[in-house]
Amino acid sequence: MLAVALLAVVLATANLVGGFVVTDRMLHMFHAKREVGRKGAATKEAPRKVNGR
Amino acid sequence: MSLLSPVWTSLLYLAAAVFFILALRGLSSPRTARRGNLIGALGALIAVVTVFLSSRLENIPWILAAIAVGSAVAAPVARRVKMTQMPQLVALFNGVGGGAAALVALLELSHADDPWVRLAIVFTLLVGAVSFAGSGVTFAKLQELMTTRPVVFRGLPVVMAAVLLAAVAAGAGVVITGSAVPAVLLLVLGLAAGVLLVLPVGGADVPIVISLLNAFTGLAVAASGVVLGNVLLVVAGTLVGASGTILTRAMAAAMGRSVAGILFGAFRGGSTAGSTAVSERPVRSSSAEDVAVLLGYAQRVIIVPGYGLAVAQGQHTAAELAQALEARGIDVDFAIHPVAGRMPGHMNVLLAEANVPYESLKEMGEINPEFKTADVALVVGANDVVNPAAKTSSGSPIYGMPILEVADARQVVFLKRSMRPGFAGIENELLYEPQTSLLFGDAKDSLAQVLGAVKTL
Repeated sequence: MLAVALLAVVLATANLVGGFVVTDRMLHMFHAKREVGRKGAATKEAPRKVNGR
Repeated sequence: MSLLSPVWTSLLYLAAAVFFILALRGLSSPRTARRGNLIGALGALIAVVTVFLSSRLENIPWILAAIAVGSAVAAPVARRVKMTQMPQLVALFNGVGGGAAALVALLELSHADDPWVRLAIVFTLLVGAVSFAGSGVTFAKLQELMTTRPVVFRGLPVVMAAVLLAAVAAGAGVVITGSAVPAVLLLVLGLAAGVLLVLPVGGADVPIVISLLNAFTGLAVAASGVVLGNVLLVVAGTLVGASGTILTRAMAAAMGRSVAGILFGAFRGGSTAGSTAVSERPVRSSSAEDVAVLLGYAQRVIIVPGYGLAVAQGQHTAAELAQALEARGIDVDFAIHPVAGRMPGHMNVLLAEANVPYESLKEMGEINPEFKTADVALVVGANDVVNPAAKTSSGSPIYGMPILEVADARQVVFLKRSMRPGFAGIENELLYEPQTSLLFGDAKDSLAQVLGAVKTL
């Protein structure tokens, strides 16, 4: 019983911690254009969220 | 220890729920997304600490050790994994969430006398197990531990129906008897259903299945909140379930198909799964120098990235090429198909890693009318998302999927490894058109050669 419960905690923690870290790493890469004066309208696109938690 | 009164516990849970909602709001724009994610993590931290302070827990050292193990495994993997392997990691993390919910439900059965709580346990067990096993198979497919093509066998729908019927029977057994035997049986049936659900899915449908399984995990977590009598779990699970469902539907709509059609299309299709055969038909193959001339003297170039770019780790070279062309006064954009790659937003993440500003990443609806005015469409490691068979060949597994209209461009250049068809295994007629030329080789090598040649123009 305890072993199963602890396995559940390990899995849930992996889901939670892994999900947030992976999302942060991916979002870290998105940035707006730095140089100014380039033509073309700046349309903003939302990066799709890949893991809800 | 129960240091916190029920009122304080509720208030902290409410604060965590508000943080989750603010997190989702932040995630809806690239400028605030990172902060949004951190707010979500803070909400989760508040929630976990509140559980420790508000309930009488036994085995606290063991629980802390389990948390340490889970974090120690997940965080370094999440930090170090290659960007190209992100889809399978996301699938894996999602799957363990469903698995955790299912295990919690199994353990709670021994003190669940209320039939409604038992019903919630049945739901959590089944959906959590489906999500766990389905994500596992998705991981195996993406990691190429097994074939990446749809796996269909005769009688699959019958087997699936039998498994689901047996699951309903086992579920009824759990609600009536509250015994562990039908519960374990239900868990096994759920795992089998998860495997059967994902086996027939391949190609451009994989990102949608990842999103769907994410929604399943959310629903399982919400149901486990009912089982445990924890309101915050219900709220958090519902948020995940709802956002996952919205994303799944949006992606399916972007492919011009229904979610059911994606899941069960391969069941019916059977033989349409395509072949791995290499075609013998003649194509116009060209050199890196020829491609550089085409690009270097164009006014408008649209680059279409696909999974091949990710596999070859060619995103930085692609970004450099775009910069070199822009330095020559050429208008360059990246056309992103909603299901390009193997997970939602895969191409966006990859190109963002290579410092391509998000303004240059254009979604399908926005970029499609612009192919008419483009001199060159440069297709890098993409196939299914530009395959006109989606429009013309009603027997094709990708029929009905909106594609990037690269055929409208004056010239189309494919950078391909070989003539082997894409993930979905369907021949691409566009390769044989007169305005199309092909440069064979690893996407990164080809891009580097073209980049070198552009610089000498």
